[in-house]
This record gives sequence, structure tokens and C-alpha cells, in this order.
Amino acid sequence: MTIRYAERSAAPNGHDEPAERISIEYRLNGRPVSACVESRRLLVHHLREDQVLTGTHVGCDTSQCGACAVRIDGRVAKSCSVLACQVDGADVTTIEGVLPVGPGELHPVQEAFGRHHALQCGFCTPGMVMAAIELLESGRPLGPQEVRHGLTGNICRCTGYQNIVDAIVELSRDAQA
Amino acid sequence: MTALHPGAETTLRHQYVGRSVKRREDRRFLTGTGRFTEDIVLTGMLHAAVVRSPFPHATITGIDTSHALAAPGVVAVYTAADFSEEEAGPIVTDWVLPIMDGIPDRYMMARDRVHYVGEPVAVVIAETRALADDAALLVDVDYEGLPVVVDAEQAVQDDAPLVHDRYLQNTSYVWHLGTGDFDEVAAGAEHVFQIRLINQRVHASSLEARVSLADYSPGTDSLTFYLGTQNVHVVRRNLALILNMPEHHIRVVTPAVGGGFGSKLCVYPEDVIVCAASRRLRRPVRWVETRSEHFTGTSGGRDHIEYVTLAADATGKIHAIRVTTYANLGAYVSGMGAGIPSVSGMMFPGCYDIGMADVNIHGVFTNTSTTETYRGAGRPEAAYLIERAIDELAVELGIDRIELRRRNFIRPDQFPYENACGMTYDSGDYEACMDKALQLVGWDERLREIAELRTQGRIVGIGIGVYVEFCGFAEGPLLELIGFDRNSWEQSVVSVSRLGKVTVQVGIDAAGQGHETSIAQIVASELGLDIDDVEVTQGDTDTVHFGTGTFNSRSMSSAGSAAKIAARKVRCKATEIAAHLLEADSGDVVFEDGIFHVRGVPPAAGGLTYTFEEISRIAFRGNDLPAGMEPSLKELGTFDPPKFTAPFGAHVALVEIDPDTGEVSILRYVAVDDCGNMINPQLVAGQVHGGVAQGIGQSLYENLIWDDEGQPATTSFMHYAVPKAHQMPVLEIDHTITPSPINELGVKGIGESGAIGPPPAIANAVMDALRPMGVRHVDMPFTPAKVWAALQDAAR
Repeated sequence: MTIRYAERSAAPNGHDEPAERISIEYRLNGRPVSACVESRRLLVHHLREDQVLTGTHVGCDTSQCGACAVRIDGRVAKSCSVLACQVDGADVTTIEGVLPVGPGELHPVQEAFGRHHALQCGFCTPGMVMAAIELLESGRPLGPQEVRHGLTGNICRCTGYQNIVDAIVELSRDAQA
Repeated sequence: MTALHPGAETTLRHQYVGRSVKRREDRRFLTGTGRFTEDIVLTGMLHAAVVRSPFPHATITGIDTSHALAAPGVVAVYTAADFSEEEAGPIVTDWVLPIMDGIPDRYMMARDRVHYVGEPVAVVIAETRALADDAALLVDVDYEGLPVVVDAEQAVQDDAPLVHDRYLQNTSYVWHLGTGDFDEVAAGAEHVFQIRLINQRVHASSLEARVSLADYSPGTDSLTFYLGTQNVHVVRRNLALILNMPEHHIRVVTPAVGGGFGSKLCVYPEDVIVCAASRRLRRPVRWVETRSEHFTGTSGGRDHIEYVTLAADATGKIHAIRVTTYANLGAYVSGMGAGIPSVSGMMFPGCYDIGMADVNIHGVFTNTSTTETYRGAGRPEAAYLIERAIDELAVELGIDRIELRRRNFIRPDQFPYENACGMTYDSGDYEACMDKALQLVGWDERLREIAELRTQGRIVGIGIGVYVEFCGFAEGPLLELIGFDRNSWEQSVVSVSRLGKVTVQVGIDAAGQGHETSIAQIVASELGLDIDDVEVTQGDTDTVHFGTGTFNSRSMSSAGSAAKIAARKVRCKATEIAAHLLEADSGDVVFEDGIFHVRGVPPAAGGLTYTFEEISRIAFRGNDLPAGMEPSLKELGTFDPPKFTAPFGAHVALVEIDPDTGEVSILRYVAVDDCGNMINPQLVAGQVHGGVAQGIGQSLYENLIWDDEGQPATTSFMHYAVPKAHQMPVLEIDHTITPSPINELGVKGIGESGAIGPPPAIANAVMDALRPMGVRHVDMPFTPAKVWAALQDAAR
């Protein structure tokens, strides 16, 4: 994959040339997607606006908060810091794609978050859930400290993290049992 | 209270109040279908990018928009000059103290002069946000710089630069509270102790920044405005006044709100910009705030410099308190910003029976963004001030800090208690609450451990903060006298459908608090229905007839009480219908487990019965009702709180400081809060957790900073440090329960308490740890650099 940048024109305002568009093909929540995106388009905007998957949020623009977290080829990534054209050929999962069974069902992490009151305003929640799923998939036992350090890429301003940590620790304990 | 015919007796089948009912809100947020403002896309929607002042104080000498206008995708570029006073007047606020000489006009975009970095000066409207951002760089603004002042105490000096030309000084008001002669009391006191404290500027920093979407419809001359706000009706009224539009032609809708914490109560310049632009362009216009815009433009909180003097006798009994506060209002008055410092003063005596107070609060303009309501709004400043002062007084007097508090607490038999600043506390037992916290943390044992650890050279300390606050804005006539332009009462409409399903309208607007669940708990309990038969509606001026919104932890005490009253009225009307059908006196009708029957003739005995659903059908058919009764089941409940509620609590922190780095670690954190009765204990715990996290943030990490030249230094989450998961201790929380006598639910409010306890508890713990090292004073936030420097200075 080559990322090319649109050529800037020599006009005084520097913006007379339309931005270059790039064709990409990738898998999104298990389905193939073909799209033509502006070279500078961020993945999060592509997901939210072109694919109308608005569960992925922008919280900070500078990759601190993790509200935009998605999984790219299994790894959690901050979609505000990835260009849409970079996922060409990749496998992308958003919060809308974590349901294992179908509508009406919740992923065990989503269930546990609900049970523990691990969300309030819900804005960070999709990113938190993505981060928690990856943490748990590691398979190693997670104590509170491992979970807290595992969540340093995600900011929650409502819950003080306590119930989020409890939810993930419980899931890890259950998985080990 | 409602004098209807409640029937002979009522046994309610479902009692949800007091139970940790799971939130019905969760599923949509867990599955990414929460629908926040930015998720709404309208046909033909345009995007706004705001051009902002890079200077904190300057005259605008010219704006050239021609290059921006010529850029691709640009539909319009506007400056203040493009709109008349009628189209977009000064931004309306909700609180101007009567002693203020008005407020400086603040328009959606600066007219001739900018007063803080980030003030809007122009807006580019384009087909996409990216194109709008591109073109915004091409707007050419010429400025002529002016002198700058950012610190409130410096701004009151005679030679300080003037923030606003129309005033002769930067002090907007000096608000006095208390009666009596402090000097006379102090002259007779054995000890007079003074301390200067800084309660630094912090920022709510909800994870969802602000988003405004305006959709003007020329055919009906109406405006639909989507906004993540804590009060749709207040926004509608203020927009009507600003835009000169009939209020009933404006609909304000708030979808899911990604956190508010007080920062989403007022009308901001960008709200007016998108509305005015949509009206001009006849297309929907959206503006999405960036995080750096959020830090520079969205109101922060606190920012008080305080001089506190306590006069005490030899036993440690405090007889008088004097406080002078310099409160930084920022460059303008925003929303309730002017009033917050003044009501803060009403809480300065805290939990203590202090006979006299002499309080002077200076509200001061500076070249910074505005301050306003932020979680606690005045009470954290008050609690910090008195709790820090009493700890230092204890050291000075050589009296144990716990004992000193005991000697000064307001006793349980003194309630309702009016403090020396004129605030009435409804109920409380501060000593019992403190004792519970001390027991939970094992105070005496911790003291022994600390003594032992100190002999090993460890820098450890323990601290307590005991607070009282006020919630549920009350006393309407008094509020009007002090210029508060909002309502204290709330109304709720409970309407029943023909098939017996219930919809509750409330005028509060949740931003994560879980009102859809907690209000449903209250109404389902009152009607004896299954909670799934009750739906809660909020956040839309078209579907909720009126409300004053969610702030001051008033949602349960005010709107919850109103909903309970409305639901009871519905039950009473249903009882009357049942009595009519049962051919009985309504006083003989029993409502038991969702079924109406005549007393003494229960269903088991073959008595005639009606279910709530059957009564609903009959009420809607309207053919078999008591004479003169109107059909349907729909009632309005009103609750106007006669007095504020006064939640309280005791928080304890155990800290250790790394001598090499100055980093403060919280080893234990115990919070015992008393919010009266709890509707949903799990939601209460969530509010405490989140509040404490923000309080810990203020104590250890957070500070919104401008340098001396007025340039903001904290414009992203890289610079403004909100706590992350690994920076939070395990929170050990518990409660005492002292029901409020102010409302029938007996609730006091819990939304803000969590943010009030930590700063004094942690500051007192940090000072307890540092005092043996020779450190006399450090202000928040206790960052490693600051603590390390204090240790180095003390060692010299």
C-alpha cells in the first residue's frame, strides 16, 4: 500500500486542486467494502460518515482518549490517527461488528459492562469495549492492575474506571475458571 | 401536597425505589447506537469552521475573507459585520447579580475587539468540514495587540490593563455576605489564623465535546436546533432572545449527551453562529468542536484565589470566619458564571457552627475564557477553603484535627440550621458520617502505621475532608432577588396510553446520569406498574412542555418529586374512575397489586375488580366516567422546593510521596457520602466514582493554564491531564442516610458530591505528609514537579 499525498497547487490559497482520491478494498465487520476515499480522510470519518457506523466516536483528535478505537487485523487502533486509505486490504472491526450472534445479543464484554454499571454517558464505551475485548483475548489472567494499565489508552470522564475494571477482572476470572 | 382521593389503601405491587435497577440506557451505548448530536446527518447539511483569535486582547483592524470565499466548496464566510443586532444580538446569560453594572456584550463573533485566545472572529461555511477547515486558514485578520491580564488578583490592581473599556475596573462586583464585626470578634479571640489558597482553574472536559446543528425551515420560519445540552428549554428561551425569533418557533432537541458536568448549560457563541448561518443560508449548518477548541472556548470552573481568616478561642471553638475571594470570571459572563462565586460564599462556614462571617467575593474579568458551572460549582471551592483552614488551625493550636472538627460541628439537633452566610441546611449528622469514614479507613491504625513508616524515611500522610453542599436550587423569590434567571420548580407530565402504558415527561436532560431508569423507578413504584410499562421522555422542547434542566444535582429532588406527584394524581384519577365503576365511595376503593377493588371484597372473595389497563381503556373511551370528569389519564405534577437540600460527606485519603520524583500516590481512598434516600444505589455509586475521579483530577493533575501573555498552555489531553485508569485508586465508598425533609422522596442529590470531597481530603493528606519534611504550603494540583520543588526548597 502506497500513501500518496495530493499535490498542492501554486495558487495563492494553496487549495485550488481537489484532494486526491484513492480506491481501497477491505473487510468491515466481516463484509467486503470497496470505497474511494480522499487521501487525507481519516479512518474514523470514513467509518462514521461514508459507512454510517456512528458507534465509533471522536473524543480528542490527538489519540489520547480512545473513543475512536477499532480493531484493524485484530489489533486495537485509534481510528482518528489512521488514514482511511491505510486499511486497504485489512480486516476492520467496529463496535457494530462485535456482536457474536446477531441483533438482540450482546458480547460478553458488553453484558459485563451493563451488569457492573461500567458506563454512564456512553461516549467512551465503544472504545472501552474494543480495548477490553483485546485485553481479554490475550488469555492471560488479568488482575486490577493489569486491567488499569491495559486501559491507559482510553479515557472515561464519567465512571472513575472502577466499574469498568471490575467488569473486565470478573470476565478474566471467569475465563480462567 | 396533592389533595385528591387516594383511595382507602394502596399496596403497590412493584417497589423499584431504592433498588439497583439495571439501566435501560445501556444497550444503545454498548452497541454503538447511542445517537449523539454528531451522529445526526441532515439533507443538505453544511459544515462550519470557526476562525478564532490567536491573541488574548487585541483590536481587530481588518478582516479579508475574499480568499476563503474563493476556496473550493465554500458557501459563505461571515464575520460579525454581516449580521445586524436583530439577527444575532448579545448572548443572553442566566445570572446577573443586581450589584453588577450589567455585563459586557458578547456576540457570536467579536465585533471590534477580541478578549481571549479562541474568541470567534469569523466563520467559514462549506460543503464538508475539511473544506471549511481549509478555507478557514485563508481568512486574513489584522489585529493590533493590547495589554493583557490573566490572573484575577492582578486584574484588581489599580494599574492592571482593562479587559473591557466600558468599565473603569476589572472588578465586576464585590458580593458581601455575613453580618457583624469580624475585627471585634477577632480582637477577643485567642487565635487568629490566616491562609491563602488557590483553587485552580479546571475543565469539565466531557469526552464528547460540543456539537451544534441548526436546521432553519423558511416555509414555517422555524428553527430546529440539535445540541448536546443539559437544559433544552433554557437554550430555547435564550436563543429566542438572541435571534429575535418567537420562542414557539424554536425547537431544541438534545439527543444523547456525552458528558456535561455543568459545561453544557449555557448558550455558546458557536450555537448562535450555526443558527444565524442556517437562517441566512436556509440549509442545515453543523459545527463540531475540536478538543483544542473545547479547552480554549468551552467554559471551565473554579479559579478562585482565597484569603481565609479564622478566629478561635483556646478550646479551638471557631467564632468567626473572614474570607476574601478573587474569582476569575474570564473575559465575559457566561451562563450562570457570575453567580457561582457568590453562592460559593454561602457555604464558606462548611459543617461548622461558626457564629459570624465576613465574606467579600470579587468577581473579576481577565483575558481568559469564561468560568462557569462545573461539577460542584462553588461548593468544592467552599469545602476546600474551610477544610484546609481547619486542618492548619489544628496544627497551629496543637489540637487533633478530628477533635477540632468534633468541637465545631453543627449538632444534629440544630437542623434546620442557618449558617452565618444565610444558607439553610435541611438535615445532617456530620459527626456520624465522619466517624463512619474514620472507621472504614481505620484511622487510628493508619496513624500508627504512618508513624512507623516515617521512621523508615517514607513520606506518607493521611487527610480528611468533611463537606456539606447545597443542591436542588430552591427559594424562587430569593433567587430572583439575586438575579438568578432560571426556575427552581420542575413539572412533570405523566400520561397513560389507551392500553395502559405510561409516558413520563421530565424537564431534566441527562448526560449519563440514568434518568430514564431512575425516573421510571419512581413512577412505576407510584403507579404499582411494571417498570417496563413506563417510558421517560426528556430533552426535546416539542415533547416536554417545560423544564429547567439538569444541574445542581437537582434532577431527582426536583424532577423526580414532580414525576412522583404527577403519577400520584394519575393513580388518584384512576381510583375515582374505579370507584365509579365499582359503585363505591373512592374512600372504599383499594388499589392492591395493580388491581382496584372494594375494601373487604378482594378478588379472591369473588369481588369485582379492574386492572390499571382496564381503567385506562375506560378513561379513554370516556363513556362511563364520573359526572364531569374529563376523559383520558394525563396529569401535571409540580414541585417547587421550598429550601435547598444539603448533602454532606466525609472523605479520607492516605497518600505516599516519592521523594525522588515528588509523585503523589493515593494508597487508600474512602468516601462516605450522605445524599439522603437513594433511588438507585448502583447509580449513586457511579456518580460518586465519577465525581471522585474528577476531584482526584483536580487534586493531583488538572489545571487549565494561560501564560502571562494570555496564551493557553493546556489545549489537548496531552497537556490537560484527566485521570486515566492506572492513576485512580480503588474507591471504598459507603453512605450514611439522612433523608431530606424538603421533598417527599427524601433525596438530597449526589451528582456533584464526589467532586467536592477529594480536594480537601487529598490536600490535607499531602500536607500531612509534607509537613514533617518542613514544607509549609503547596497549592493544587499536587503534580510531581511542584511537590518535588517544595521538598527541595524545604531541604535548603
